[in-house]
Parts: sequence; C-alpha cells; structure tokens
Amino acid sequence: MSGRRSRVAGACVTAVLCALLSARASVQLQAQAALPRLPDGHPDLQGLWMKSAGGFQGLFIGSLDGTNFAAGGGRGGRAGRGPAAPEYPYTPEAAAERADRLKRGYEDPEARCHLPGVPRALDQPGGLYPVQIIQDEKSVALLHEAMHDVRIIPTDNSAHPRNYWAWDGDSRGRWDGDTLVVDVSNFNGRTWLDMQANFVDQNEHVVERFTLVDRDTIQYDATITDPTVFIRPVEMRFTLRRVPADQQILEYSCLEGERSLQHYTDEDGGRKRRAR
Amino acid sequence: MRKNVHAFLIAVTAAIAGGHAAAHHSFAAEFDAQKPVTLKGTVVKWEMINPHGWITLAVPGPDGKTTDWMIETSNPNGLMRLGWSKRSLKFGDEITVEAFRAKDGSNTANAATVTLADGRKVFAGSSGTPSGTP
Amino acid sequence: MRLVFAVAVAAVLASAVAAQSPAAGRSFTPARLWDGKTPDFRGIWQVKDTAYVNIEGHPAEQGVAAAKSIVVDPPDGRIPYKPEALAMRQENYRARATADPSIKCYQAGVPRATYLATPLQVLQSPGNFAIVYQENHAFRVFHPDTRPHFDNTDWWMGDTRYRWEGDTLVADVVAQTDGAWLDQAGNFHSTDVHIVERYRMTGADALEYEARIEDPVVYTRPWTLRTVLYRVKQAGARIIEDECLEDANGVRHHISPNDPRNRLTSDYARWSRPAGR
Repeated sequence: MSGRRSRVAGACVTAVLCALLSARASVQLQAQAALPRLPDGHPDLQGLWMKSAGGFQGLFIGSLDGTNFAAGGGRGGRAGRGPAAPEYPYTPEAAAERADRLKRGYEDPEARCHLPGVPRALDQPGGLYPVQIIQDEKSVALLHEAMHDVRIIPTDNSAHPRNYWAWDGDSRGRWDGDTLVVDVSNFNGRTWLDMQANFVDQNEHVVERFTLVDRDTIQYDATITDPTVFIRPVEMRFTLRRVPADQQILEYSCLEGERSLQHYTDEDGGRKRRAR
Repeated sequence: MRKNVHAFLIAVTAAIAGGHAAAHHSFAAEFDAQKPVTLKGTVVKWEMINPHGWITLAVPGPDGKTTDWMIETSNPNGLMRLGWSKRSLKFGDEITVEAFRAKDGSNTANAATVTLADGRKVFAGSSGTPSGTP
Repeated sequence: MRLVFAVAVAAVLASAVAAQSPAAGRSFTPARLWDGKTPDFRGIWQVKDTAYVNIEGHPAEQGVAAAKSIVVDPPDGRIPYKPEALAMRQENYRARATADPSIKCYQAGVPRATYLATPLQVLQSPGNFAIVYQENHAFRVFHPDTRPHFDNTDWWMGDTRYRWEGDTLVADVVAQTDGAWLDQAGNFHSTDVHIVERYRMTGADALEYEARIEDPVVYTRPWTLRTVLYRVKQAGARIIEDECLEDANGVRHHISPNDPRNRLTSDYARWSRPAGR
C-alpha cells in the first residue's frame, strides 16, 4: 500500500515538475516566438541601440536651475549600476606595458580620432553614442556613431582574408540558434580597449555573441583572447537597449573638428612647448 | 525634438577615467588643471563640432584690447540630444566661463562651467578634471 | 508662316526638354526586397569615370583618364557660380594640392562621396536605407521624409530625408558644412546648400545618380550633375577598411589594410626582467 502511495506521490511530483518545466519552456518558446524575425527565421537585430547607462566614466550634468544632477554615475549624483568592468589578466610584460601607457594616455588612438576597434566601438560610455543595425539574409551591418565606425558582418560562411590588418579587424558572423556569433580577427594591433590604457596587440581575436533577449534588449558578450598580452581570455558583457524611435544617429566627425592635438605640449607627445 | 533653452538639463560628458589618476585622454596633454582662469566676454562663434564644441569668446582686457579665446566644451552630440543647437549660444551673448588654461600658453581653455548673463549655469564639468582637483 | 514657326519652336523646345530629362530609353524594373514592394538597390557600387578629379571635365593627367563634364544642367556643363564664388573656386583650384579637405582624410561630403574612385555599399531592409562609403568609412543613414530635417549643426555628410517616387529614390540633403569640396578641383558650396538626389536603376548592374544642387550664396541658379554607378561583381568583393595613419610629422595618409605597414608589431621583451633580478 505504501509502495503504491509513494509511486503515486512520485508520479505527482514528476507531473508537477513536468508541468513546471513545460510551463517554463512554453514561456521561453513564447518569448522566442515573440521576437521579431527576418524571413530567414533569424532574430531581427535591427534598430538604433545604445549601451545602457551606468558604469559611465562620469557623466556630469549641470541643470539650468543650479542643481547638479548626475545620471548614470559620476560625481554629485546617484550612481548608476553599470556592467562590471572586465578583468584584464596581463602577462608580466604586458602589465608593464600597460602601466607605461597609462602615463601616456594622450597616445590613446581613439583620442586621436582613430577607429576604436572591437569591442570598444560598442563599449562606449553608456548613454552616449548609439549604433544603428541594418540586417538582411547575407549580413548584419553595425553603423556606429562613434568615429562613424562601420562593421559590415557577412553571415555567408565566408572566410577571413589573408594579408589584411585593420583597426576593426575582419568580422565573419554565423547564427547559433538565435544568437549571432561573430568571429573577429585580422587586427592591426593599434587599438586600445578603453581610456585606461587597457590594450591589445596584433594577436587579438574576439568572439562576440549578440542575443536579442526581447524587443528592446540585446545581450552582448565578448571573449577577447590575445596570447601575447593576456594569460587568460578577457570576458566582457553588457546590454544594449533600444533607443526611442524619435531619435536618430548623429554625425561624429572627429578628424574634421579636432583642434586639440595642435596644443599638446612636447612633454605630452605633442609639438608645442609648455608656456612658462 | 527641440526644447526651449530655458527648460532642460544640459549634459556634458566629463569622461573622467573612472577613479584612476589618469584624466580623460586629451585633457592632461592639452590643459593644466593647476591653471584655472575666469573669462568674461561675448560670444563670437559657437561651433557644435566633434569631438569637442568650441566657443570663440571676445574677452576685453584691462587695457581695453579684446582678445579672442577658444573655449573647449565637451562633445556636442549629447548636448544635441537634449535640444541644443548651433543657435543656442548666439553672437553677442555675454557669458562667464570658468576654465582651465592650455599648457602651451595659447588663448585656449577647457570649460568647467559656463554662466549666462542671467546667472543660469549652462555647462558644467567638461572633459575630465583629474581626480583630486577641488 | 507664324504657325509653322510656332510649331518649329515648340519642336525645338520639346527636344531640349527631352534632352534634359533623365536618361531616355528603356526603363528598368528592379527586383524587390522581401516586403515585395521596396526596390532593391543593395550591393557594392562604383563609378567608372574620373569626374572626381573635376566634375566640369578635365584632360588626361598624371595617369588619370580624361573625363567629360558630369554637369548636365546648365547644358554647357559649367557650374553657374556667382562671379566672386568663381574667383574663390579658382583660388581653391590653385591651392588644391594642399587645400583639398580629402587630403586630410576628411569625409567627402555629398555629392562627392558618390562618385569617388572607391566603392560604396547600399544597405537596405524594409524601412531602412543607408549608404556606406569606403573612403574614410563615411556613412549616411537615409531617414523617411515624414520627419523634419535635423539641422542643429552642420555635418560633413549632411542630413538626409528620402521617399520613393515609383522605383526612384529621391533624397533631400541639408545641414552640410561648407568644408567639403565637390571634387579635387576646388568646386565648392556654402552651408546653405540644398541637394536633391535621385537614385534610379537603369539595369540590373547600373545605378543612375543625379544631384540637383541649390545654393543661393554661391550659385546664380540651381544646377544638376548626373553619373552612373556600376555594380562591383567580383566574387568576395567587399568594402574594406579605409583609415589613415599619421606619419612622423603628424600628417595623415591613407593606408590599405593589405599593407603590412598597417600592422603594428608590439615588442614586450623590453619589459622582461633580466635573469637573476
């Protein structure tokens, strides 16, 4: 009698578990089914996206009525909760290089209007420079406001080129279920990862994953390997949020309006002498 | 969408390198945080260009001569998203600028605050005052 | 007699009008995007002529083939400058070896970016239209013309609003800085310039481009240029990265990603501690 009862109880538990699991699967399926998709079945990543604010390197807002209101972190206001900073496990030599570059922050190529590279073009301070994504069955194109950087990612199973070294490297994408996986290589070794002199060299290799979580959210993950710089891969992750439809990408013409480099003093890598 | 200059918050990107001693890349190479200056003058030009906006300010000197100063503001794209435009600061506007001088001694400065004639502060905290500066 | 004369005049006028209308002859119906209705202009396109040297035409020089004027209106192929603007153009021309903004790796602007020696790519999906120009990785997002122009500042690639007129894309461009030239010869405009572009496929591999340029500060009247872009069909053809590097004097030069000099090889050995320390 007790054996039969425990079997029934077990069956009930199993049934409840099954019901729960299938309910959860059904919710997931519904979420997946609710994602906008292109005719080829892949999630539609298109739109204007911005890395969510928070973890911002200091956005200071001064209001017209004199109160200081800081959004997304920074001095004087409520701190935004941003993505955790990645860990950069440098080799001893690369760590020394980084310490040295930190003293030469003016050499950051992005400060000199060069292309930010990957993933830095997406890893811009939150709430500042959006990216427009246009997608078809053969490619996913990222048009970045920052430095008017462009990455057209083919999803046609083509291979990386040879004898090609670029600031943004070369990107080749493929779909892994509902995640766009992008393999980026062929870097020219000139980019920094951020304003804090974290850097990579010509052996950089990145694997990115773009996952449309819901209509207004893309989860972004990047694994950066560089055997001559890091002893372990660097993992980076943050979210992109859809920008309201009344916004548009603006032009960021860094070179054309740049007027700071001419004032750099020679002690800071420039040509001017410091005034007494 | 256009908003009245009087009605909104102004965002200025102060890209302070998250707590580290290193300032925003170009600030320390170009400007001197130990050399603050207050400039009162009239706007000659207001350029909303990248990577920094520039105010050309005619500043009368004690000798009566006017000197044109170039005042660097933060990246204008954030400002434009709040409705600012090339027309927001007009020729002839009288403003007061608290800024940091360029190291090379030129009449160039990086704006920390800009105050309009009616007392409203319209900018604050431009590109990266190094941590530790009061 | 007067009737014959009137008919003759009408015939001449009619043929003159016909000569100025878009390339006569066969009309082509382009393929559609997956919405079944938007014309599909996607692909990599490039002009074959050398109007980028001088849109008013130029003789062969320094290995570059000659080109006729691509200015189709006025009929004499000359840009209708005001006298003082023409003097400015002459000055630009004399100084072109150093004054051309493209030398500094600045974006080419509209319409110059369309007829450069390097390709462009049209990106499209239903509701989206953008052009990426290989030169200096410039791009333009075309916005539907139901939204008013953005002109809070002046840009190098302007602000573009578009609509479809049948299978022709008509784009309205304002908010351009006066820093960009129209070619290497110093032809220019002011910040008041207003451009109306027309993109029309005349064949599966041909995209006709027309730009009507209006600028009352610089020209006595609006004028029009027209050229044709051809589909780049080599297998594996892509827009490649085009970024400039500074030389020792801080002067920027284009350098191809195929050029080994683009690659910076780092050496961290200098940081290694000698053995025993």
